[in-house]
Amino acid sequence: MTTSKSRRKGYIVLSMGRSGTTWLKSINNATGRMGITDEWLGFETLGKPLRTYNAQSYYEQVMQRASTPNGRFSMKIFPRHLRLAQAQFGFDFIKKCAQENDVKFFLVTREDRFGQAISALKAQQSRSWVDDGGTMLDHRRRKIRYNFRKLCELYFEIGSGYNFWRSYLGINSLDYESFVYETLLPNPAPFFESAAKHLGVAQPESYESPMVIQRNAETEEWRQRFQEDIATQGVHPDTYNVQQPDANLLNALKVLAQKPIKPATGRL
Amino acid sequence: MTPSNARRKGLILLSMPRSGSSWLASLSNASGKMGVADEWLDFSHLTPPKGPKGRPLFNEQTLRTASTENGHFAIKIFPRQLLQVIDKYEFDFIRRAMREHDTKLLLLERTDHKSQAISLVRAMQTGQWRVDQPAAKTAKYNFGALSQAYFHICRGYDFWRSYLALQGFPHQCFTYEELSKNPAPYLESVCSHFGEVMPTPASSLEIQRDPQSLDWLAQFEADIEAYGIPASAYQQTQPTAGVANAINVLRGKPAKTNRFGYSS
Repeated sequence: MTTSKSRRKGYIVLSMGRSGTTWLKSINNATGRMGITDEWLGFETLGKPLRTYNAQSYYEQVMQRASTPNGRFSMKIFPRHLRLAQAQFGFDFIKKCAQENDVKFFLVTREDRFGQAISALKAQQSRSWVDDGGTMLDHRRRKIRYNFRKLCELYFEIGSGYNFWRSYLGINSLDYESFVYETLLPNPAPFFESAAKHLGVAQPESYESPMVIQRNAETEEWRQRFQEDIATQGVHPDTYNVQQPDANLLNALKVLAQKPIKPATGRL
Repeated sequence: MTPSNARRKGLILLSMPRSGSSWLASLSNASGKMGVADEWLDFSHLTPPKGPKGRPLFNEQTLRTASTENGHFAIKIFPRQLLQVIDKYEFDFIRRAMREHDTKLLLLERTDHKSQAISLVRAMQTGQWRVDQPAAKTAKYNFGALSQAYFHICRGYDFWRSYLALQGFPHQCFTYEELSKNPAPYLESVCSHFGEVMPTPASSLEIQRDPQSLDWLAQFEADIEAYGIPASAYQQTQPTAGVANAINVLRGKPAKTNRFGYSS
């Protein structure tokens, strides 16, 4: 891979789903000068089929999409994005990005893990990750149903995700600033002050967002039921099942040849 | 001895390997009154028959071997050991101990995960888990194994934090780095729970760190800077090589895993 000539200023939010990063993104992107935050490492955001990219063109595509005309960039990354990109293209995006640019890292976590697990399950089931004020057609929304096993799994998975970032940042000795969703919710200014200062641009004029908090009475009912189920049954034993590799011929051949196999798709 | 069905006082030390848990256990074990802390949930102790039938015997046997004459018990547990028992006997040992006994949970962490990874890889390579054990093989620096061990250790601590938070179990946290300078807070906490007099800290175990550990640490950090973390380090498990396992993978069945993985 080659290195790009210009060293740019940017920031990367490291987080897990349902931590309020889409809300932060909506405020950031409205400025038009703080990069264009999104999950750019995800293959679903690429403009062309995955096979048409190599490591360099993938990297350049992500950087281009994440940038505003002033050259500042911003993106949010979940652990699976980083790992799948590394498995696909054989390089660590964050390491390369940090080597070639002036990057500030933010770790955004959410303290209410019960609420986060419930939110993730509801979003997975309904396929409604964002409440945009009702523009999604009702027939595309799927019914949601309380699922104790899935909630236990998600609870651990979310913890694993945050742990992954702390481990990753620690082993790479990368400096970062931490923010908690619950603290930012009433006042996101400290996050944007820090980001804007690093980027050398003005802070957002407004912290208004079109995003709507998806929590409702059902969420609280699920929370109560989840806690009751934990108290009476303990953690669902399937929660601890080891993640198995994807079942396919290539992975089977790799096992025979004692070669490392790629992580299962769709998981951390 | 206290009858097995009586409510007893117990201690469960939750940790990961190379966190100083054996050293701490030796300090509290020396009193002879605060249980016999050891890895009583490890493979070699899972001797009763598999399934719910073997459960009462396993539970009784574990509490008996972990107890001192006064009925107090002490156990140290790593995540894979808890999961082994759940798999084999279909019950959560800690949850039952919390329900049936006056059990105190301690979470012991080591904050220097790189040094801990080095210690773990060296012990796995040489088979020398304590200074007084002979080394079966020579330790050889391995960047991939160290990276894998680092993430394995971090995952283990994270497992305990999630497990404890989700169950809502009260617990006390200690770090190895603090206790290695002064183990009194650990002993005070344990003695207070058991209602025993605090002993003078004394252990026959020695710290295994040596110049080779420091050399490896320097090499490890240089390699991280130069090469970045290999993708394999993030993976929880790698299936063991073999025809049977390849067939398992192809069929989507649980595969036996190697190194730091734990197969269910």
